[in-house]
Amino acid sequence: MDNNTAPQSVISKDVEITGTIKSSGSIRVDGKLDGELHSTGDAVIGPSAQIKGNIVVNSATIEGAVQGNVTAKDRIEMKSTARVTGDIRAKRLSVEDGVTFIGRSEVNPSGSPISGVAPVVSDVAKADDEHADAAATVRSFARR
Amino acid sequence: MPKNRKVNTLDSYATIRAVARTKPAPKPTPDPHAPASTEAPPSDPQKLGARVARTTVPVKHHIECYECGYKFQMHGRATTTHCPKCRALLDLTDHTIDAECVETVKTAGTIRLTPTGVLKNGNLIGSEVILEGIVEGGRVRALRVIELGAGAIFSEKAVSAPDLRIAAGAEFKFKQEMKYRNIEISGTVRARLTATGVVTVKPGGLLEGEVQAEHLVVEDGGGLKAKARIAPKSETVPEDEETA
Repeated sequence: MDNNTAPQSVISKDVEITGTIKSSGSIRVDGKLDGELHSTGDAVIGPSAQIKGNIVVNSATIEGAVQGNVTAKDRIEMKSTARVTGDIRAKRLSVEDGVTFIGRSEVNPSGSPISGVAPVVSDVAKADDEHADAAATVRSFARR
Repeated sequence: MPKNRKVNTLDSYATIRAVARTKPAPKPTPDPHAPASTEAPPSDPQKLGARVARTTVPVKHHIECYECGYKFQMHGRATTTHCPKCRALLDLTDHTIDAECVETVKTAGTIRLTPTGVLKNGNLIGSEVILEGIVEGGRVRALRVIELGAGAIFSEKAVSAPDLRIAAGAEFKFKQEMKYRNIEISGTVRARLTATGVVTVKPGGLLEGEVQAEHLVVEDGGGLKAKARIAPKSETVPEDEETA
């Protein structure tokens, strides 16, 4: 987070907002937000924060409760106290033990799909036929 | 102790102490900048225990009997031991299978089926099983964890273990729902996973499909393209909160 270059907007614990927040810098939310959060910078959703709405940011660090979809250009970091109900989408993801997350995740840093190697019984049966003509069964154990 | 008395049992502490006595203690390197020491050298270097710098505590091994399932601990290394509960003789060695195998292998150690290994028949039962070869017949049962490496071919019903580990570079698609205690993913897997413990996606790992667990850890660099339901037991999440 570029705290040194851009000032951080703070929605403190005792603030409740209904509506959409748009920010060009980084933002920290500790209060309640009933609406969407759009920021080109980074967002920190504090432990006491409660957000009902979608979040679209550069990168998000979530420690509080979010009911809505979270989309980050760069990364999403879910701390152990995070409670997210909604879909998440980002380039990179980091999830700590203890989070509550119900939704879909679309995070694939490598971008490579599964090529299709499946351990199925039919493969085994086919291989068994190929080895049927083999001579005596060889057994080898090499003890370490 | 009388001289003629034969010692039948050597415990691990005695062995380590004996080995430590045979090795001379490393001499401290003299510091050229330090002032000349006025202390006298040790008076009796041959004194019993003078060369023993420290006593190493033997490594503690957690062993599960593959006959009765009893779990116990053992200090030090050994090739065999007896189960304290059922008195069965337990093999503790590690096995590597690099050719066709038609026999049952039981060990409380590790069994590794290499890429050239083929399990034709019989069972593999080990504390930890590393599967990189082909399982054509028989069953594979790991008492602790099964690791699926790249190139492993097997029937989903033929393997069973409490914990599952997908090795780096391995790619698997599972048709059936996979239920394990802990799952560690360093490779790529597409499956419906249910874990009672922790699902860990390591850097370079990718999980596709569905995951249901109490604990999820995605390390930086890990991928998750899945429908997830991660909720600790204490925290009940109503069904209607789930996203479509």
